[in-house]
Amino acid sequence: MSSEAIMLHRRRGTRSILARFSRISVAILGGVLVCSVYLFLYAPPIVTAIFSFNSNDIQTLPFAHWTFRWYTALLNDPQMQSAIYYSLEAGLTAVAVGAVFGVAFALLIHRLRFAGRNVVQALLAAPLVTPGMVLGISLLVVFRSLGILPGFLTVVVGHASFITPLITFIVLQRLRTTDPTLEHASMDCGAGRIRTFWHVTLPGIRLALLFACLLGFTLSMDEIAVTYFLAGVQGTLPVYVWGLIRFGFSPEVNAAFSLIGGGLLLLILGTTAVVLVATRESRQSMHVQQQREQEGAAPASLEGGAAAS
Amino acid sequence: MGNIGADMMEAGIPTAADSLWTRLRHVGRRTAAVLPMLAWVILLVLIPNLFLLFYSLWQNNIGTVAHVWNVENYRTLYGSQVFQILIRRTFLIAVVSAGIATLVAYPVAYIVVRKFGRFKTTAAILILVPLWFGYLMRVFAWRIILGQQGVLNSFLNSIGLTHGPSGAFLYNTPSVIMTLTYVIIPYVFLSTYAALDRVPRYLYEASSDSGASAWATFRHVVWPLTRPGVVVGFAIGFALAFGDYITPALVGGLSGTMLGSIVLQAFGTADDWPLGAAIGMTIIATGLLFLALMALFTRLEAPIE
Repeated sequence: MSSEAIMLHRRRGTRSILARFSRISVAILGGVLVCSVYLFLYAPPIVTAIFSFNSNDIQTLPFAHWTFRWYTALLNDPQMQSAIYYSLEAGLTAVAVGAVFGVAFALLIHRLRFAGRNVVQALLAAPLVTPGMVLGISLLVVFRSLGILPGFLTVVVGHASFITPLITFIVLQRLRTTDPTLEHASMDCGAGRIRTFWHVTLPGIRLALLFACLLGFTLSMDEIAVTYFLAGVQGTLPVYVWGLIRFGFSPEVNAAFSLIGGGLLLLILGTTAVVLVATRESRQSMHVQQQREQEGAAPASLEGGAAAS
Repeated sequence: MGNIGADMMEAGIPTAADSLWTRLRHVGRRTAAVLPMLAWVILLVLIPNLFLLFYSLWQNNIGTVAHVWNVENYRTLYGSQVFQILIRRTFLIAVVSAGIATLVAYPVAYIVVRKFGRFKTTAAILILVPLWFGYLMRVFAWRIILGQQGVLNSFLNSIGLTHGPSGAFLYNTPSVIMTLTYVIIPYVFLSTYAALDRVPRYLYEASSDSGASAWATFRHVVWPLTRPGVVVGFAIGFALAFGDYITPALVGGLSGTMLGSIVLQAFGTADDWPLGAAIGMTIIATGLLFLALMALFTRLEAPIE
């Protein structure tokens, strides 16, 4: 072996060690980054939850001792209770409005090709992406010009304005992946539009609709930027809490945050789990059906129907 | 008959054999079907924004609105030193916090998509979960952490880095930027994750088989394909930060005041709605301008297929 070849070999050796070293350090850096981001994201909720049990009036470490005082104070605060009921009422109403209009709009966008469809779609989505403050004040000036005082109606309209497009686009996404021949088959069998919608279309989008409604409901329960401008004398829960923390502070707030956060989280995780399980099941049943068809057990009527249409 | 109806429903086009009357009826029915959506968009999107514009051109008259048309509000605003400082600061805060959030979220999304295998969905959901702890809480918690008697101060004191409580962490521009970054990260992550997840694995394999290093693969394959997602995430983060008034009110103090804070004031204690509307229009215009600018960068060079 010539000396040059040995040099080359050595250089390659050092280079591969260097490469391995840099690869390991990149991996470590990546790991540290991911871990610290998770820590960063979860530190505030954890700190809030811990401090909701702190008996000290001032938010400071170390703890005086553990207590449930703030939770009991919270549950005995009549203003907080009425704010919670008001939030639930407004949220459920806004979601009901959003579900009816959202499904209707999704079906319209999905089925009709009309001039300016994209423009209408973009405008419909606008309240989802405009900053809450802008949406709030723009609706507020209209209400004032119409002589409508801030109250339940204005809050519901404000929330429905962003829940409806949310439901529209989630349902639309689902409609785009459903098989249109099912509806055609239903109508071939003599079912009218309403019966077809009720027995074929709606079951197809049921899960997406449920998920969208719950997502919209959690958004509504948490909304502050729009609601602050539209709420009248009676505030929703976030508006009431905002009033509590803006200038003064009561440790009750930590307990309220922990309860709200826990409740919303359970709701959304529960829904996600239900949707995931259901889609997996339906996928499996579709898979079984496909297998049966491949085995030649496909009902002849199905093929006949496809040929007819 | 039902079949034709279904097909027409799908295509929305009357056949040539139809009479003029049938066609007209068809067009009429379609218009009637679209009307509710049109009405919704006009009532809840177009009119509110138009009215905000009108308000910004009307005048404040001791708490009531005088319907005199001029640009006095804008002249007052843009002539004021305070407003110029505020708009510059708001823009800076929004760009910096959206930028930091993007710089953090994109690599994390990349690592989650590439390295977490079948746990990637779980890992992604875990990043989005904090969105459901409540907006106010996510902002307010930072007051507990950064405050004079907060967690950070206690921690630094106990390890001997600082002596006595320091007020340097809260009620200033950096604390606003940090809190906004915290709020924005999940949104940017969602956008970049969706983009990265759509890049098929065989592209990575093809690139490395052709002798490209990991960096070259990223630079010439992954980045061009995911850039639009990154830009959309950045734009969403910018919009969220630029229009926020909760964060500056809770952790901003005086030096962390943003445009949103004075809108809140104008519609609240100051009771000068036309001026508030003018600031609102400024925020909308800046947002649209920013989006248009961003749209220049979102064009895909090649579709993923």
